[in-house]
Amino acid sequence: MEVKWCGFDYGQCIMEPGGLRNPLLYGNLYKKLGKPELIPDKIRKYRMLKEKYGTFSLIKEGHRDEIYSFVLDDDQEAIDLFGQLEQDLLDMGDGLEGALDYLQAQGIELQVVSEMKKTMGAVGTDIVSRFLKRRGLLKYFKELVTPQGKITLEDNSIDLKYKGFTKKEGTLYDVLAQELKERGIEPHEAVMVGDKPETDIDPAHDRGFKTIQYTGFIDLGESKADMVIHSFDELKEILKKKE
Amino acid sequence: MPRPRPQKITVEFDDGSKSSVSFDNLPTPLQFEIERQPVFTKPSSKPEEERFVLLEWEDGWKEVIGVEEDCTNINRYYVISRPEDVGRLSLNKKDGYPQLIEIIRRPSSLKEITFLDTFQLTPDKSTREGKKTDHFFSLTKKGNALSEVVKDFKNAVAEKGLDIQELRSQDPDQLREPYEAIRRDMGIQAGQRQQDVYDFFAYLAKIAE
Repeated sequence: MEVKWCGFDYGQCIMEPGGLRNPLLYGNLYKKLGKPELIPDKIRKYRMLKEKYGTFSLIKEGHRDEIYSFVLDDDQEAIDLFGQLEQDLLDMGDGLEGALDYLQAQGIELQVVSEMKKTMGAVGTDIVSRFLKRRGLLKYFKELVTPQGKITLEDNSIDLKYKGFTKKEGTLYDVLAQELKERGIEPHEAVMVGDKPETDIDPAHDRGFKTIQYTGFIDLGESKADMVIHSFDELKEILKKKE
Repeated sequence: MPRPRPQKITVEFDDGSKSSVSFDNLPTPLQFEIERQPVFTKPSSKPEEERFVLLEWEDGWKEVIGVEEDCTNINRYYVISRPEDVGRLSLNKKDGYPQLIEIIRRPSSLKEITFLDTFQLTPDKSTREGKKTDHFFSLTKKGNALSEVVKDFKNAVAEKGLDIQELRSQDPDQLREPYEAIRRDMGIQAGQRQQDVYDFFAYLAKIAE
């Protein structure tokens, strides 16, 4: 597959939340706050949010404010600590850095395309930006495209032309395709890598992007993906720079 | 509300003192645990307004569970299957029945245990029984970490401008705030009950020379 641009989803793709176990996260959090007796209740409330929204990933990317209000009772110290401990427990997808090194050496442009709809706090302090900075991934990714805007990670500036457009509706890919065209990259010269058929694969595929479904962390079933990979290492075999 | 709702919990201690708390201020799982105890269970005055879930298994087993009255319909059902690691630390007791402590937090990464002496943990043998595997650790005596903790405690007390002698003589209830500040400085968490860590500091204050 020959491409000039490669977009990566964030949750359950670049970032693997396997180490983010609730007893560990809320256990550490409320022990540090000196309130260990609250741990079972906090875990229970977080699990209630999961039942409301379906998956922890959807809560994290779209309803983070409810974690703060419903689970953490808007306690600022708990919120700050939550963000810090959460980052400690997140992992990177297997083989990711090797694949990014390869793609960058090929001269393929890299971007993160996330469905992060809400951010609490200043631009650049969101969970995705913090993860990319903390894991030293800024050398690969300069920008983060989200329904809140395109964030330039080095200076936290934001381009609002993506604001309000989403991956699920596909409108974010319309804006992305237009922007890539202006830079001389056609949608068929771009590939989107992600785990979720309904946000990462199918809407991008419908707009002419090439698509690769990553099932290394979770297999969400059939999609319109051109290829399916289980490890990021496979990208080194699949992708080449289109001249 | 057909079922009476508890309003207050009062605990009487064997020294004659009492503590009360509004029932709604208790953590929800504890409210549930209390409410399901037979001694606190009262019949519903309007059972026709209650809501129930009835479950039936393939082997014919049936269970009924009372649910909140504002439940409207079934959201979903799923089963999580995941290998869980749980540490079990048991301490021998004089009556022959050991106290069991469950270690939930990264049990395989536990490095040392101090109880009277300090012991270093090393993976030893693993025994499998069906789908369950027990990973045993050997305990190797390694001095006593408590003396280091005492030293850290004394430093933390001094940094807060406090005096160990004064700590020894003060009312323990007045010491929660300074102890909490010391705890955060020292990076010690309570495993189960916050008062344990304050009582531990009171113990350290007593044994510190």
